[in-house]
Amino acid sequence: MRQRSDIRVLTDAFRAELLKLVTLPAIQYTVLGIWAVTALITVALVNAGQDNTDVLSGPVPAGFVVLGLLSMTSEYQGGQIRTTLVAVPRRITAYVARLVAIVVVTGPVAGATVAVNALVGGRADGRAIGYLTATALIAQAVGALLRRTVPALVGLLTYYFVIGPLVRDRSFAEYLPDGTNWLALSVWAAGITALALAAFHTRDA
Amino acid sequence: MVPAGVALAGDMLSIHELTKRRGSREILSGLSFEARPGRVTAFLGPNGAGKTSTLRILLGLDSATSGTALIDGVPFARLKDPLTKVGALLDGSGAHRSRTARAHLRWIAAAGGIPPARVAEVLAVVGLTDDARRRVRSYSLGMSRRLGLAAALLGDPEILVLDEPVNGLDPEGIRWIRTFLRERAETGRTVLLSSHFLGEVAETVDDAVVIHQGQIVAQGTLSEVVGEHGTIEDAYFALTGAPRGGLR
Repeated sequence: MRQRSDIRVLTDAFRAELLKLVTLPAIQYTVLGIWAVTALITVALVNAGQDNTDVLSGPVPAGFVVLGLLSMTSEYQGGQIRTTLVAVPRRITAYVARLVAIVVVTGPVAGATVAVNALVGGRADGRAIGYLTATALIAQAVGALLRRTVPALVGLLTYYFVIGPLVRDRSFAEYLPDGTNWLALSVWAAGITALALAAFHTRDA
Repeated sequence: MVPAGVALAGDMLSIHELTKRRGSREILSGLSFEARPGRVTAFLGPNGAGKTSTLRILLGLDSATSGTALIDGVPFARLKDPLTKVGALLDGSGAHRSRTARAHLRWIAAAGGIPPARVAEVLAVVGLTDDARRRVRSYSLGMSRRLGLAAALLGDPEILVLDEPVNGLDPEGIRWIRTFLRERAETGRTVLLSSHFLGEVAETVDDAVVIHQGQIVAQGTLSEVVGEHGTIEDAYFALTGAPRGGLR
């Protein structure tokens, strides 16, 4: 049999990761939940005379935390990680394929979320697409480092809903992973992803 | 059966001086053995002897502290088409519980560049066609093992590496897998299976490697390993010092 090229190995791995994401019920429910919550809270905000885009920096990011996290921690349920690494033994290829797959899934999901918010509420906040996608990437990397859903979820939600809001008025807050500075957010997402990739590359599976 | 020592075109597994340390504990101490094409090789030992650790290193899941585990001279992690070279079954199904069996096999086929039509074929081989759309969480232990085996067969591999393949199978399933593995070996392929369950081994295997506390205590053809002990069971207990009552 003819050997696959390196590019083909990577694109095959990417297709597999995409299939994994779309056939996992927890991912499907999370996406539907994100859209339902967005629509409901947008209606409530409009009725209260508040800015409808507030929901995109409030409860909605939690849904993207779950998306990113599950893409990684679901590997460690039922021993699926062994199946993955037997099919795609090169760790960097396996990780990059999953990274690209989560971007390809969360990007459009975030786009649709912003669209739902704009259609129901009137105002659109396009920057939220980038923010929500970056949040999913940070959660994915944390999931790869901790490998277990519950501790990672508790840690991330504690940060986003307790620690983050507590330090919101401080001068450095805009440079934090939930801050408004784009460059800082990109550095956080890239940095923690690099750390997770290094761990995935070296650790026993 | 292909006689010992005859070189075939198939692929060989070779483990050389393999050592694995976790913290201060040495789990594997200088293991060396081979599994040859055309033969079924049993990797025997009590639970905790190091069988699974060895297979995980062979499959690139864990790294060795020293030594090598090679597939046809190459470490598993360097294989470009691993699924067509090696089919692997470790404990459980290797599937996420909330996915259907079909979805599970489809993503593996995609990852390995294997045509999706192959999924239905392997489901039929292991007898799961009618349950393919059910979620894995509803599977019995035996069905989970069959699904794991289906995944191992997707690439119609040259080599099968199976960790405790008969665990959880009913007598009919055990009989089926015996015949199946013999057929694989007779077409010149390599089969390495680990087991702590002695009953099924003697009739299925050509060669045996016995491991105890991370070290190999005997290896050779089945008759060589049995030697003067009379039966494989007697040989096993004599070699591993395992308590008689402790094993089925």
